[in-house]
Amino acid sequence: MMTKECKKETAPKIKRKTLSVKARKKGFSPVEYGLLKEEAIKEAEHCLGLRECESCEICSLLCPDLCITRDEKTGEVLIDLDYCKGCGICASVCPKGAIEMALEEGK
Amino acid sequence: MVEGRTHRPIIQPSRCHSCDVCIRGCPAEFIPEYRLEEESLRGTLYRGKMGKKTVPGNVPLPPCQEACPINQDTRGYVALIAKGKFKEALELVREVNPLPAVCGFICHHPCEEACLREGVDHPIPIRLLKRFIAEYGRASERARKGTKRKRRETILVVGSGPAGLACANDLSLLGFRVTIFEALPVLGGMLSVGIPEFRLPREILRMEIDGIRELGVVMETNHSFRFGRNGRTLKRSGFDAIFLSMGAHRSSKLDIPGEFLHGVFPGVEFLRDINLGRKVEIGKKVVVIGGGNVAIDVARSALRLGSKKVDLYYRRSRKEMPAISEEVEEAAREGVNIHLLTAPVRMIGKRGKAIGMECIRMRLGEPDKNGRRKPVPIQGSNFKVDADTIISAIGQRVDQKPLKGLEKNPDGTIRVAPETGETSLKGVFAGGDMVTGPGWAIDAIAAGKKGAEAIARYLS
Ligand SMILES: Cc1cc2nc3c(=O)[nH]c(=O)nc-3n(C[C@H](O)[C@H](O)[C@H](O)COP(=O)(O)OP(=O)(O)OC[C@H]3O[C@@H](n4cnc5c(N)ncnc54)[C@H](O)[C@@H]3O)c2cc1C
Ligand code: SF4
Ligand code: SF4
Ligand code: SF4
Repeated sequence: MMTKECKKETAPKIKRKTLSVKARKKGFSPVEYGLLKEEAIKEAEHCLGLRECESCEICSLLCPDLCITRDEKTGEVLIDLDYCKGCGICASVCPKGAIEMALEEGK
Repeated sequence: MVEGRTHRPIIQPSRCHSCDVCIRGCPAEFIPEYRLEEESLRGTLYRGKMGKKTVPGNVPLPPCQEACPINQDTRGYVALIAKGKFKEALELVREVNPLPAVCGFICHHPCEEACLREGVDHPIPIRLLKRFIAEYGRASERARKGTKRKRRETILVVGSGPAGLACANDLSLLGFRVTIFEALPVLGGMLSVGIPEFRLPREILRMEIDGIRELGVVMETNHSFRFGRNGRTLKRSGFDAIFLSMGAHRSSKLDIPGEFLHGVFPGVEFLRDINLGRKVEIGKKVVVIGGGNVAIDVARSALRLGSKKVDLYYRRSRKEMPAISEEVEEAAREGVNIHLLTAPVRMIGKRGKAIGMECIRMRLGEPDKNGRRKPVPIQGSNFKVDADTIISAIGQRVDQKPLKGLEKNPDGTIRVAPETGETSLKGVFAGGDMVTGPGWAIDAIAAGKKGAEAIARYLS
């Protein structure tokens, strides 16, 4: 499954990591430390947005036939079934599970 | 018509968020020939690809993205970080943000204030996440976009602060030739001569500016630009359009007695001298006046330069302080004594040198037109404090000298058309602190991007 959900359990706010006050007085060294890789991933997993859409823009798995478009006026997403070859990539990558593959009649 | 399909995809409108992901992931990004097809549906679809700006009103952006002045796809890059795809996350940020690392360090993060996760436990630390991917991707090549010189026009950008850099970056990506004139010997505007190094390491700033220079932007330091009186400047300059982003660099005056005593300095000049490596005179007992970023940065710098006691006086309460809240906390931790609801009345001098200051206590009165409660002095509450250095940081104004012939607002900022950012002179655009008054880096970036768009439209 591609779909990933946000972490539902609550977590305490990460403590800001900084240079010790004593060391700061010695010059103009950076005060704040950045996140570690694991921390970044852990924090990012809490984004509620993960429940609705992943905005996975770079995904190379998407529609090879370019037949999905959106009506700019209504915002509605449309699939041109005249060109879609039914590979199902769109349905498998849509993080909302908003595309369903239905069996073609007579197949 | 396709043959042999076994399944057909059906969109369920009730669940679709119209987020665009399925469309944006289009393989035409990877198979460029597809884009050129004149007749085919996929070619047509690709050309009709929508940008963020065209998102129809009935599809709301997530609050974080909505709150961001340049509408960065927060949800998108946070999701990529959650999956460990740091490079891709940075690429997504870079699509709209020419200075991701700078923002990762010093942005005042309106996105975090808007974040809905606040209601669950705490907001997503979006700024730190951006800093993480920017630092992580430091070694990796900056994604090179097509920067072929498609256009003959040359554009002048005056000032190399975030507004100017963003404008130059976007114009360059659109194929224009861009030159930046910077009056100071260093590039970066307030990012390099305002914000102290302990909040924004200079190698980070240099890295970002180098990335923009690599797009072909010519950057000339020590080159200050002046406006002629009659607005013929544009024609004579040989440029096809000008973007002004000269910031607001003149400290406002307190207008109280004693301001010209020895030992009394304006805040931004003090920080500029430190940042340019000039020698600054600073005593052991320092008083700082103001509650914005400049005041806080001055106070923290003073401690680092060896002052023993640093007292900061602000005339409203903590809530009204415009400085970034985390930075105020850090200042307090470092030992800056913050005195609220106190305003200076006069500086006290002895033989021309400052030796102290007289203050008065304030209380908060009725809200003014911006909704901030106005401080009112409490009669008879005057008291004196000792100090050998007094630094006032109560705001900055736009330097008027090089701007003859431009229409201004009463407060000295440049008057522009709100939609385009065009000034009263044709072909001359402006943005950033010089239009809004002292503000935030990300707003300056947004103004620079808007300027680039408007200039492209003007020249088309
Ligand atoms: C001490 C301090 C701390 C700050 N902290 C933060 C923070 O933590 N977070 C945040 O978001 N914002 C912060 N800001 C605000 C932020 O830096 C500014 O809003 C932003 O830099 C404005 O960008 P700008 O491009 O409009 O102007 P500036 O950055 O001011 O750049 C203008 C440039 O134009 C040049 N220039 C001026 N006149 C001429 C001329 N005639 N010819 C050629 N060049 C000229 C100037 O030398 C300067 O380099 C801080 C500001 C200061 C002063
Ligand atoms: S099934 Fe989906 S991915 Fe496959 S061709 Fe059709 S629309 Fe494109
Ligand atoms: S179908 Fe899925 S991926 Fe496509 S826009 Fe809707 S929610 Fe996003
Ligand atoms: S949880 Fe916060 S960061 Fe994530 S999409 Fe919502 S508002 Fe944005």
